[in-house]
Amino acid sequence: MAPQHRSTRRSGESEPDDAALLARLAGGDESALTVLMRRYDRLVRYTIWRASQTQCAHDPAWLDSLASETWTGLVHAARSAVRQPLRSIPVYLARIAYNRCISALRSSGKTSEGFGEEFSLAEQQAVVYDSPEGWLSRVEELSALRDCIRDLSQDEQMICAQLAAIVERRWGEAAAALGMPESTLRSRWERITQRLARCVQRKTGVDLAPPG
Amino acid sequence: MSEHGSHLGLLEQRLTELAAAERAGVFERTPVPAGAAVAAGRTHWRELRRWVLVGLPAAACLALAVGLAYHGLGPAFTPLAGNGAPAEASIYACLTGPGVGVMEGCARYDRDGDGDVDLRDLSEYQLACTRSPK
Repeated sequence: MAPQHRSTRRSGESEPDDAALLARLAGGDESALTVLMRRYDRLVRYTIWRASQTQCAHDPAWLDSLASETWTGLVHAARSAVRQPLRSIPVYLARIAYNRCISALRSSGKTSEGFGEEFSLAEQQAVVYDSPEGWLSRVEELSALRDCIRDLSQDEQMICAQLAAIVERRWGEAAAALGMPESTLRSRWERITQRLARCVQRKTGVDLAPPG
Repeated sequence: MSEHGSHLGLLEQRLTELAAAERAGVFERTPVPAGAAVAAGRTHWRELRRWVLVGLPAAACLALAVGLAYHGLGPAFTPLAGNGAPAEASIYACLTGPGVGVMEGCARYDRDGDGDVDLRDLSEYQLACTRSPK
């Protein structure tokens, strides 16, 4: 089943569903576009980023530009949706964002970078075309994790800032930067990861807890 | 916890991904495409306006041409003629506009006798044609 907006489940408030917003958008209601962007802009940007991480790093305007084109595409699609309704806005957006990204990469003489080392080109197409539900969940997961980090104490956030060293297990370097013993950092990091995992599970139902 | 970066736990993988996404600006907001939604709403009016400005005159010309052909005025149908009218000029060759005067050989088309051949004369001429088809 195609993914649809589930805000009523999360917030308890009755917000217009995607189809209603699309109809309003077709009629020229700019506020409908704003609501849709609040719902799915991260999905669009995440899709573009995953498909062109190197380009995003080299060109600061790349992400904004392609995301903006994707939304403009939705506006035009909303007009034609009167004749041929869109089944799912997130699916449409993920596909359009991906296609525009690949097209822009090709026209600038670059090949598709793939979604990091995790996915081959065929796999990334499958992700975008066959299971955008998973894609959307991933974006929600990351957003939840981001919120959870903000809920940490100042000290814990300082430790998180040493993530690059920590994930490479350069404990001594990270501990020195934080001005604490290495053993303290290790135990605090373990508590932080457990706390973050609980927080993400509470918000999304996804279990990211370290094994054991 | 694994001692190798390639064997990170799921949470650490997500944290790493999040940090990279954050640096790339994934969580920033895309500027709303200027006027995009409004432009979509205006498309109806744009299409309507295009139809009114182009479609209707084109349809009127076509109807006029068909009408003239029906009334046997085809050979003399020279609406763009401007440098004088032939002896057997059509009303279109004689059209000059209000107050401009009547060209030689065109007096019969000054239906209201006001000293010119204008759209009012054309209208009366067409009505007359309709009343007495060939």
